[in-house]
Amino acid sequence: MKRTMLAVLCAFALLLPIVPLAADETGYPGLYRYKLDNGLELYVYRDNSLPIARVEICFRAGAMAQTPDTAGLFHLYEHLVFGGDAANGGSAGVKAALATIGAAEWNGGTSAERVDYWLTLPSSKVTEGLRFWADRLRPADFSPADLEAAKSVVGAEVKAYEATPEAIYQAAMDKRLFAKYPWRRDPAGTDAAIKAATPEAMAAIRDGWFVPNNAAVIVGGDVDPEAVRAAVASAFAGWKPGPDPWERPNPPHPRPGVVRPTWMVYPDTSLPEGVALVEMRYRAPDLGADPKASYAADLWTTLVADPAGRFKAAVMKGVPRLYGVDPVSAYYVSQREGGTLSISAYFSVDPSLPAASRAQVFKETARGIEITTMRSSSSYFGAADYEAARDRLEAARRLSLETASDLVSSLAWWWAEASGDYFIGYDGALAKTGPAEVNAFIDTYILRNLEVIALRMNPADYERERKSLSAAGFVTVNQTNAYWWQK
Amino acid sequence: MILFENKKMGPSCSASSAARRRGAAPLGAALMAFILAAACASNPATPPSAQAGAMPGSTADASRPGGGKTPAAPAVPPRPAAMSPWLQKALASLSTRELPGRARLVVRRTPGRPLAAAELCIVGQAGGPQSGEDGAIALGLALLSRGKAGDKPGNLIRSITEAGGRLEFKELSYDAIALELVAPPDALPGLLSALTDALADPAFASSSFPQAEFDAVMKDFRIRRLRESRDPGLRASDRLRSDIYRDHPYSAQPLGSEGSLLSLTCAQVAAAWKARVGSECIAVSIVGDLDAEALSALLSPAIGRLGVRGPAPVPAPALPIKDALLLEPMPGAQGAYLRVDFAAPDRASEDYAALSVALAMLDDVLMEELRGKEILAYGAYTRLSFAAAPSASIIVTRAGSAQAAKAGIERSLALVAGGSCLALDGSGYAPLAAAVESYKARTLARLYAGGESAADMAEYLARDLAAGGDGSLWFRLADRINAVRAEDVLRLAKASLGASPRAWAIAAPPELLAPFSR
Repeated sequence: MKRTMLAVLCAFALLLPIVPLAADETGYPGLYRYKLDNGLELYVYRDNSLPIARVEICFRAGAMAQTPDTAGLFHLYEHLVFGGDAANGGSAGVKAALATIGAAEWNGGTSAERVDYWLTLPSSKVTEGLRFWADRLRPADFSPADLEAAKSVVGAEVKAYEATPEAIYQAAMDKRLFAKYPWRRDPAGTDAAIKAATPEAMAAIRDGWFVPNNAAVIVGGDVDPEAVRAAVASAFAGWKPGPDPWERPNPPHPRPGVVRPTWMVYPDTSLPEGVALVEMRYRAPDLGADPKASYAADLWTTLVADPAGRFKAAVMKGVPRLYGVDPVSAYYVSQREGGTLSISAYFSVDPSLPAASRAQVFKETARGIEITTMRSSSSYFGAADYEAARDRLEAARRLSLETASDLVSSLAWWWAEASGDYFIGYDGALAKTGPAEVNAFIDTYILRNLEVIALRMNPADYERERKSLSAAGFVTVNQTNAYWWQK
Repeated sequence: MILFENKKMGPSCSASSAARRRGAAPLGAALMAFILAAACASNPATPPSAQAGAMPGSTADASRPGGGKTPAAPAVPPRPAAMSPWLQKALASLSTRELPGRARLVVRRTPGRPLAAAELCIVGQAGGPQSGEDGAIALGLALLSRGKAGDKPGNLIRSITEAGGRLEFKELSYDAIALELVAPPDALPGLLSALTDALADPAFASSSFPQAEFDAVMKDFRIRRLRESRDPGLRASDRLRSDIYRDHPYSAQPLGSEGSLLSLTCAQVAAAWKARVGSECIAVSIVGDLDAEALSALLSPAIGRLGVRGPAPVPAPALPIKDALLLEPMPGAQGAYLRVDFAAPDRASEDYAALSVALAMLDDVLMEELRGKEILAYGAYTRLSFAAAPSASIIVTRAGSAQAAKAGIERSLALVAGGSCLALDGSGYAPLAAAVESYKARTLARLYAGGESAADMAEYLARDLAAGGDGSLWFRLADRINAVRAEDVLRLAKASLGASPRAWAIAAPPELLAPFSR
């Protein structure tokens, strides 16, 4: 955005009042919350320990807002914001602008359910940091030359990303668990969609999704909340709201994600020979549809994560040659519409104990015996176990939110995936979660659910067991068949 | 510019995942770290955000060796100047204490912060002799997590976990290895005391110590070694270490070699520990809402029991930097990884601050030359180490053409050495003098963006202790950077980026190295 536009924005700031929403009453120490009339939410976290601040702006967008024809365009848009326009000096201009404000770190990210931008800079430059984003988040136009340049960069980035073992494996999982709308899980998208992108398509994304009533600004560090509020008003108040892009919610991804237990194996070059992973993955609670179950999911995964607990001991005993207690894990990925639950373990490859049969034993031991038993036995986890699990969750949260930057990035994430209220109210909601909620979670999301069972093993190990894996029904995944847009 | 993976830990995000973000390895979870690493891609436009232990314009790779002192730009001692209010306040929060047997303690008090952190360091013994015992002291330090003789292995880790803390082993720098303990302030002193109690009488030295416990820690070390051997960036760094710096203390392999990690026994580790780890090697840094006097009293008895084994460690001499080009073939690597080391001034000199500003400018020029009109590489950044023998480096990752990337680096060096940097009006390049104030602000922000957490702060304090300082240099750099003048940056740019020798190492698939052989 040009300097003249900035002047217009500043003038608008005088006209659009900001309505504070219970400032300093968020219940989270040091965290202030405001809302502009245009719908933009603002969170400010004060921490004076170092003379720096992080400024982040987040949108509820990304892959979940895509169609098959626009898959990848939110990521392309993200790059255009950084690339600047020709009149502004292109990417060199952006670098120069970031240097001018003393920005130390900056970046943008596009994921399945959010797009965000952030920078860290001296706290004395926060106003300039906010103006930097305000000037660039909504390019006035998309020149064909800039668009072509961005396509080239994005194309190369996506190509490299899609070749990574992690991307291949996750894509193969999503292709199965989110088979009805897989493009809503894939921010990288397709080469064809990116190549076909037009300035008009980018403008439609800007006007449809990059609106203040679909965004939050979060600032943390050595800052004065009222001063930040004024700076946000100055920088963003002229930003006009648009129709709520989520007025008609997406149709949900089906659960179970698969119609029958589904087996796959990925020859994974990132694993050393001799070590393999077995994972069961389920569709799990979506924060948008079933937030209550998300607390139970967090609590359950923490209960079973106890290294000295009954679950891990039983899995260790039941499945031959697991790698150890630590690498037996369960975790829940909280997402607005794409929640998943993973139960996994690493094991030592041993041709005398075929991986295919050990995957079956793992499933039978973890799900068929232990999880079934914990559901039917009220003594499997006692009150002390629940208390300890809550303590561990609280401690992990404290660790993950230690610094101002941690808090800003985490709050941005939770705001996009759920809401600011979810983040602020998490501890209280967790305290109210107990055996009844956990049992309901187990019933709904594990015992009445179906899973993908996957093996990851070094290609050399895979070759030695290829026949037995094939005979056991494992489909082999690779870069040519992992992605939803491939057969 | 990141394509996030479609997953992120929720509030149940474990301590170990937080550790992975910082590139450290929680004890007992190296395998997970290995397999699940890289949860967040690094920004090609900026150095990785996980900057613990890195200096302005640098990456988290500060434990890797680099250049030596600048022959063309003799270090200028700090000019006497009034201390800024911020620095006065920061220094007032620092307390140093000498513990028994020349061990050292530095504490930064941070009232109201929810977490505290401590680095328990072994200084100057990280490498050890080039024998079959490489890594023995590091293994011993990691095994302290199993407590002192008579403790049930696992109890200490369990206590830490139950207190909501974590314990990690790390290669702090080339000067030291460390155990990093993080816990709420009310729990940290007791847990740290339990760890230091194990120094003189570790459980692993007992004949009844379970072999399985030793094997578990050894397994973590082997996996770490395996991971490093597959990392092209580390392979390039290791080539410099083994070839260019082979006669320097920093050429040692503190975490062990492939050979030593296959042969070392628990008894050998215990013997090496007893012979080489004395109180004179111990340095402790602590950050938290804690009292230095009380901590000193708490730790002194255990440190005293350890006893003195020899003279205090001497800071490493300057690295023997020289012009070189080392090629490391890595079939299957994703592109070429380039690293060039060059001279850096003494950490305590004003020139060090001036070079850090010049490197911040170089970062932008590198990105423009390597990811501007043409995409020659995925990432490009500089680093400036904080070790006793400091070094400056440029690291370029995933270049499609090693030759083109090397040419891009040389163009960038020539531009900044010639007195240019990115023009702040976006018009290309311009004389750097006009941009110095902006880049000073950036350098400051980078300096502290890498040290927000108690653990990161404790690491900076510990690095300074390990390099022979008093723990305060990280804070003092703020005023030194603010005092940098354009002529200082010009002089350092010319001397360090232009005239000084450069040692290159390139790890890449053979076909990308072929042009260098013609």
